[in-house]
Amino acid sequence: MSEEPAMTTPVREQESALLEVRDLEKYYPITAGLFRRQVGSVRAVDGVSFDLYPGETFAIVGESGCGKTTLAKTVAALQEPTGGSIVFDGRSIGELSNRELKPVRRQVQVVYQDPASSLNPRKRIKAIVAEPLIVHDIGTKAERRERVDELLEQVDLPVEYKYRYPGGLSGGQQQRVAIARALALNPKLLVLDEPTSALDVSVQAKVIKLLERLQREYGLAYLIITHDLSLVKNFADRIGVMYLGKFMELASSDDLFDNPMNPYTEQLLSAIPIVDDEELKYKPAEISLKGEAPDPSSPPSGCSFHPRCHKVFDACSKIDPAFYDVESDHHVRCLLYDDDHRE
Amino acid sequence: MAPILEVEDLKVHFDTYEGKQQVLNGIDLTVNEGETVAIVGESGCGKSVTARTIIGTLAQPPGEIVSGEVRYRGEDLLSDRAAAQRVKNEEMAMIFQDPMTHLSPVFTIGTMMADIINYRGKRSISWMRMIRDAIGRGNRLSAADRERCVEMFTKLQIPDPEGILDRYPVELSGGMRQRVLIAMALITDPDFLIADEPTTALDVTVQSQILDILAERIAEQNLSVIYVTHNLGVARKLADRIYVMYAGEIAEVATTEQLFDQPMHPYSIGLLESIPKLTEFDSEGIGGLIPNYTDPPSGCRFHPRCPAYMEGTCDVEQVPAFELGDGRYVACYLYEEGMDVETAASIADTEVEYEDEELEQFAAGQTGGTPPWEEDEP
Repeated sequence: MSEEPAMTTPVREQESALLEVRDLEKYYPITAGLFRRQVGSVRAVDGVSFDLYPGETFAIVGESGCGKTTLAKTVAALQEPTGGSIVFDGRSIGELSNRELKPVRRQVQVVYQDPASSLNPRKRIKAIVAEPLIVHDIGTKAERRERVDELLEQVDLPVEYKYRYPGGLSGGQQQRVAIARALALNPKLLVLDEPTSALDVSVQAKVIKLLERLQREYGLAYLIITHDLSLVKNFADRIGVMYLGKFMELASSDDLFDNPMNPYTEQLLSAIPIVDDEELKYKPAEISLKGEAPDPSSPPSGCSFHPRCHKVFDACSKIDPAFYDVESDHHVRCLLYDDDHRE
Repeated sequence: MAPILEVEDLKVHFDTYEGKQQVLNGIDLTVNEGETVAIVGESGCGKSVTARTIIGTLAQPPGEIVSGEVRYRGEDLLSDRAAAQRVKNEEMAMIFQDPMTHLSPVFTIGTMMADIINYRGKRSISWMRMIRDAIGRGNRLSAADRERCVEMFTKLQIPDPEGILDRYPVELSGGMRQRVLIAMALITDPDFLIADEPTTALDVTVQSQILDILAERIAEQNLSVIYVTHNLGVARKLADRIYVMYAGEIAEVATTEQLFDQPMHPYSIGLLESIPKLTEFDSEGIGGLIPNYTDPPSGCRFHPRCPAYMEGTCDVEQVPAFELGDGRYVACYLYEEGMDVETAASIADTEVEYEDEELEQFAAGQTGGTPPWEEDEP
């Protein structure tokens, strides 16, 4: 693999974004009483904006309940947003009818966290991998069979495995099948929702290697959702750190780790259990952590992170910080970077 | 330091429809007084089975302890049932991975704490007590016990320690539930603690908090601990010594420093390389799968996946644990008994190299026959 060129960040000026997400909102209603009256809402995704370029890997990192999976589902057009816009390849997804969405769905495919539950246990691998082709009515039966063999080869699975059921494969092999299925329609964007968190580390390394190779070969763009910062450090080009439905920090992965600006990012970094002393250079000085993510149905006033923040000051509980563009392409949501409010 | 727990040649088999699964294949393990020992390995390697056998909650059947001894302060817990019962009730405690399956959803935290404080270790209760329990007046915390619980909750940094006694587990967050579970294990003041992946279900920031609290408790109560985890980073943070386990066998034993400084066993090396690091992540992982326990590979159970596999040596007999200098053990024929650490380290550097060639060749159709990962397929 070493003779292949190293992955590079695509040159932005020459290319237009594959995916443009602007002020995306997804609120879930909370209802109560006999008539299911709406009494509030859970702001799972609350004003998220980002761009994704062809061939790029964008990672969304956050703790459980921060809305990262909701964001992924909304981007993959599996859910309708309650506000904001998603433009994929020049077409605004929100304005399309279900029928018009179908060609878009071919371009955006999803790989889920737990392969054991995303693969139908009663279907053979060949049927699972061929299913997207059938749904989108592509090719004849013979062509589909051929395509399945080709896909299994691409994900390093022996072709004989197509006669097996998912139960006869290990977790890593099942995840390869899920990746093969996602590739069946030649998508431009793969949404990876915690693709390796159900796998052991030695298997995870192999799956990540496979994903990197596929990206090089097909120029795929990845939107990877994960809670593991050390995994995306060297996998993603840009990273968005999410907390209670909002991006707290958005930067290229080198910038984010060399110079974490938001206190929440610092806390996440300091909490990673490391295995090598050299990793210490990326860890901020000792921070005492406290608390857990609050209930998203009643977020704290002001900055949603202020009750847990180690750099909190008075204004934090009153003013909701904007998303400041501190350096070029390094955005931070924190009042520390607002000259009017900083103490 | 005197050993508090010694496990010797423990073999546990499981009866299943596919046949007899030889899960634990001769585990030797020592925990010294006041020491924290981590058992590290990937899923299905038998680390939880080891923990459960020690504390005596292994389901039998299907489990069957074929041979071995578990000595706690000199008493064999496997042959002496009375001693096992007493030790389990009075001196050992266990923390489980998923608090939601180990806390009852229908009782308040206070009731469950009272259960533990009032009944732990008792084998019978009086008629009076039973009647009082039946009419719902019995199982309460006395004022002194309530105080004790609050004190323990405070030490575990649970906010509102008084109020939490009247709440149900569903009202608490994941981190709080895990803290309650830890409180339940520690309230009886045990000497020996077994923690089975207590932070795996938690977010990293919460995990980090729990680990700090646990480390504080361990030091303050002078606990001897077996900490079972798949996360080497967590083990590094907490453990004095680490046992690396693979497929029911101990691959390597070393102090935390030694292991992270220079892993010796090819499996430990591969495992450490596979972990994504902040500095770099360019690992090939380890090819193949964990073997099938009904028909495990002959000799070293790791040999079908091992990059340093020596035909005719590794696949013949079970590898004994060779002691290297510095009191570390490694079960691998690359090394010899009594070999000094520098020589061993240079062997580990030169002989063990994970490459992806076989797999790529296979993918490119250059090799025939069975693919390298086929051999262990269940």
